[in-house]
This record gives sequence, C-alpha cells and structure tokens, in this order.
Amino acid sequence: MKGWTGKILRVDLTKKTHKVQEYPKEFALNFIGGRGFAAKILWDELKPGVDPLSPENKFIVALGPLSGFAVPNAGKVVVAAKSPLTGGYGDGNTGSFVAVHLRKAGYDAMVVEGAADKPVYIYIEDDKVEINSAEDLWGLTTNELHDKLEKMHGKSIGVLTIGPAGENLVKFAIVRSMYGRAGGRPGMGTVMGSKKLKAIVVRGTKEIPAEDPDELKRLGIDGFKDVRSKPLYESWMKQGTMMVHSWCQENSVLPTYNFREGQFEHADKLSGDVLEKLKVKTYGCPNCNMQCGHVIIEVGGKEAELDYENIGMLGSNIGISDLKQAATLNLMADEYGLDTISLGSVIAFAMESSEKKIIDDGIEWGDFEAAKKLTEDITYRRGLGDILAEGTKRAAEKLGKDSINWAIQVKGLEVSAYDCHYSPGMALSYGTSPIGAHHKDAWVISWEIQTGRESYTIEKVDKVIELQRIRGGLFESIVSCRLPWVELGFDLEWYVKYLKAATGVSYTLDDFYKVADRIYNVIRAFWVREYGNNWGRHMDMPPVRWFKEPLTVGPFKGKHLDEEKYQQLLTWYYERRGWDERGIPKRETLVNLGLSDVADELSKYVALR
Amino acid sequence: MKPVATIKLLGAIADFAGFKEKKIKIEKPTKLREIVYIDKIPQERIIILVNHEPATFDTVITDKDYVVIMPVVGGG
Repeated sequence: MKGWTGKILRVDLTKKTHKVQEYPKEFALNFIGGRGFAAKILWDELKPGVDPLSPENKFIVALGPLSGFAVPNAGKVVVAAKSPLTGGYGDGNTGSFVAVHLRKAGYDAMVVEGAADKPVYIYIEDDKVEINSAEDLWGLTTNELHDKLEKMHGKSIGVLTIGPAGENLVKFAIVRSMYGRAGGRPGMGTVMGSKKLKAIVVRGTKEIPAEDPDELKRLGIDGFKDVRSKPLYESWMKQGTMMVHSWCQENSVLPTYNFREGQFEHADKLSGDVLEKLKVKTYGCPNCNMQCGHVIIEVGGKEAELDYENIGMLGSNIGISDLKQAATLNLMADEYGLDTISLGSVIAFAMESSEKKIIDDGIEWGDFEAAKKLTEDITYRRGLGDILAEGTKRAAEKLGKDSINWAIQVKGLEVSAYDCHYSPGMALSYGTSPIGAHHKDAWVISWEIQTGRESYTIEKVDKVIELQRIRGGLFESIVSCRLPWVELGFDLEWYVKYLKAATGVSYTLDDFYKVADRIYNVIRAFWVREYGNNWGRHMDMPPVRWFKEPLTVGPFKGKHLDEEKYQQLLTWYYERRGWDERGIPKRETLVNLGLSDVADELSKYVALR
Repeated sequence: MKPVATIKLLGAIADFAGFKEKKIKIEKPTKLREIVYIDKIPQERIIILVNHEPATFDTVITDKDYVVIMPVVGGG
C-alpha cells in the first residue's frame, strides 16, 4: 500500500503491551481514514452498553492518507471513543504534530485499550513503544505538561495531552495539542483520563510511502500558492475565524445569554476588530499557511489564543463584554483541558438557573469572577462545579424544575456558537450531527440567508446532507482542515489529486461522498445500538428553547422555530438518507453501502425496516 | 430629515471597499451598483441584504434602506 502505511498501533494499558496490526487495503478504500477508521473500529470492537469510562472503551487516534505530507492543510488528527458525555459515538479533530510524527513512525492510527492503574504516558519512537510512568506529571496543566515533555524528549515530537479536567473525569474534557489546539468535545480527554493516560508523545523518523512523491510535492506547493492567492486571504489573516463575530451579530445568530438571543448589546467590544488591535501573534497547525489562532494578552498578562467559538461562548453567551476577560476564561479552559464551547454553555446554564432561583449561588450574567471560580470548580469538581462537570443535560436532570428547557444541547453535547431561532437548516444540522450539537459537519447559515431563512424546504435538507458529506465525510476521513475550502474557496478537486498522488487511488468526489455515507451509517448504527428501542426522532431534536421562546431583540424579534415544520425537515432528511421514520438506517441502505455485516449486527437490537 | 440609506460592509468586503459604514443621501431610487463602487468588491462569495432580505447589485435603493454587504462565510 502507498499513501496508507497499512498499520495500526495497538497499545493495551491493562496488560502493558503493544502490537502492530496490519489491515487490508479494502478497509482503507471503504473508510479512507480518520473518522472512518475510528467509527468502524468502535462499531466492530465495542460491546454495546459498555461504560465509556471503563477499560473496555477504546481511545483512538486516527490519521488519513494525506497526514504528514506537505499539502494544505493536513496537519490534523482525529481523536475518537465512545463518549462519556453523550453515551454515543464521539470524536473531534485537532491540529497536531502527531499527524506528522505518528505517520513517520509508520502508523495510520493508534488504538489505546484497557486502563493503567497508575498515571502513564505513551512514548512512541518509530517501532519503539513505551508505557512510562506519569505520576510526576499528573496534575499538571496542559501547557506545563507540554513544556515538561519537550524538556524530556526534545522539541521534535508530536504531543497529545490532557489537563486536570481530564484527570478528574469532567465529561467535556478535551485532548490538547501544541499550545493552542484542542479537539474531542464529547469528552475524548475524559476517556484518556479514565485510562490514567496523561499524554501521548510521538517521534517518527521514517519516510511516509507515497505513490508519486514528486507529484505530491509539486501539487502541495501549488496548493499552498493557490490558498495564498485567494481574494479573501489577506482579510482572513487579520482576524481568522473571529471575522465572523460581527457577521453573526448582524445576522442575529450570535449566542447571547444562553441562546435566548442572537444579538448582544456589547458585541462591538468583543469583535474581530477589537481582536485585531490586541493581537500579539498568530498561531496554527502544521502544514498550514492560513493560521487561524490569534493570540492576545489576557487579564492576567498571559498569552491566550482565541477563535470565534471561544468568544461566542465565553463572551456574549454568558454576558461577558470584555475580550480580555473572555480570553482569560479561554486560557483557563485550555490549561485545564476543558472544552470551551461546553464550558460557556454550562456557565450560562448556571447563570440562568441562578436568575431563575433554581440554585442560590447568586451568579449573575457577565460576572467574570464567578465565571472564573466556576471554571475552577468544574475542573476540580467542587460544589456546583461538580454538577456542571457532567454537562448541561445531566446537570438539568439533577437540578430538575424544568431546567432541561435551558440546557442547550442535542444528544447531550452542548450547542456550538450559532443561535438557530431563525435558521431552521442550521438547527437540522445540529439535530443530525453525528456527535451531538456541533457545527463541524454542516454549517448552512450563509446559504440560508441567501435563499430564505424562514423556509423549511427539501433543498435545505439537501444542503445539510451535501455539507455533511464534504465536511463530515471527506475532510474528517482524509483528516485535512476544511477551512481552505470553506472560508477561502480552495477547490475540492485538489483533494482528488492529492489522494491520487499519495495513494494511487482515483476517487472522484462522488466516491468520497459514498464513503461519507458509509461512515455516517456506521456512526448512526453505533448510536442506535447503544440506545436500542429508546432511539427515536426525539434524539435529533434541537433545543426546545428555539421553538418555545422567540427572540426578543433585534431585527428578527419574535422569530422562533416551528416544530411541525422541523419535523417535516427531519422526515425528508431520513428519506434522503435511506433511514426509517425513527431515524434508523434501513437494511437496504446498509446493504447498498457494503455494510451487510452492520445490518446483521444492528438487527439484534432493533427491528430494521 | 434628509433621505438617507445606510450601507454597511462586513469583514473582507470593508477591506476591499475601504469603508465599514456610510450614510448615503438618496435623491431618487437608485440601483445599488450605482451607489457602491462595485469594482472594488468581489462579485462572488458575497451576500447582499437590503432591509434584511436577499438582494443584488441591481436592487433599487430608496430612502431609509438598510444595506449590508458581507462575505459568504463558511462557519469554521
């Protein structure tokens, strides 16, 4: 095999052993890599009902056939496991030098099984694999840990870490990489913590085999040039994802006061223009020439890297109107290893619960000191923080008194930073995202604005599926950053050429989309197997707030989602996907995608139609 | 009060055109392309809204209209 190494590293932390698994080329052709590999491995190997925090869960780091090559923007890794936050399939991606080093060490993926009895970290240097004590590293923040690991192993390494939040099994702990990258919102860092795995350190020195290395190199150089030549490039470099902040405010999709509103009265104090004035440097992933991380100095005088999601969730959504304060909360989340999106959502949940006198902690909107204290209390599971550390869904179940109505989540994963009172297509995207309410699979708000925000049409459903195939399928399986395409218009045909030069495989975009559909069906089957006959359309419903509580400010005052019409969108979505009215794949759909084995297994848990 | 329309440009569009917001006097209904120098603005990957509704450079602008031109963003 070329492009793919054909090898998966298996590390068993219980037995303290490792082995190298060679997989057949058919697996690569059917699932490509990244999310595709992770989903199929978890489907094949996890017993349904397994406790996500038990040794039986598996933590996967999966790369793609472009990982490690100098093409835009392939310096990312997928981390995946059964999610302790949602109980379903969980994954995330993050920029990391692990993308380069793990491939140079000779592996397309690694699977961590079992659990250590004392803290450990895994050190990989090509064929050498060590499980080392991390007892003196336990308790360190992610940045402290990264510094220490570089002192121990040199700078030429790839590193994935967890912070205290992962150690303390906060359900939305992430996996951290470098000094400003994070991924795995549905508790992928929590799974590492449950295995007492503080870090993975990789040094790879081998050549990654490519079908046509010269062509790949040439295409890589041309691709980077093409990215740089895009009309929006210069503007992108000024603010990165933060350019969307004022856009969201203008279009009333900026999450505000726990997603009650889509506009914030102090938005101009948090905007990309403010960031641009405060910026001290930019930061990004390997093999990227459109770096999106913008660093400012936070309240405490330290460097904090920001992007839109952080500021949406730790700014307007909790009533904070000072960019430096939001940066401080963001830095705390990064150092503790918390997901910034879920953190902003659970703090907002607490503020609203306090306002409604469900709790008597007296936490007011915009209270920076209270937000800082909550962030610490969540990380170390103290008092109210211990309840919030479970995520909004479980916290609401614990607090009761209708608080589920202001737990802004789908399937247990908190909604990322786009309000959907007046964006039914985006609400469908959140509803049907394969990990819970995250935007990475499909983001359709620009399209909705151009074609009619109020409408609930089958075209809207098709647009969500089209984007899920590209963003959630193509990009998550080749494990390349979607931003060159989605923000600058880098042509998707580049990826067809890259795959061909790397692997020799001639896939058209339609071939990629068929793989995407296969991956989506495996992931859906995973969820359904976990929930059995408790699975139903209710699992794909966005937060009730967007239906029942209209916007009260801005040009779209009074707007809200229509439940009956949303159900129609969902029906069309299921029909287009070949799923039944419960949202369960039909046998015929699975068989047509070459997933007869999945159909047979799934039919043991629910009747297939 | 003098008849004016508000023209607001977001993100990259403001960079291209060199301004973020202008109040423009509207003597008579005029096509947007005659109000904004569109040769400075990319013709693709943009969204034009007039009074929060989709529009084009050929949309006729009148007194008190609120025009926003913004890039098509991808949502990260």
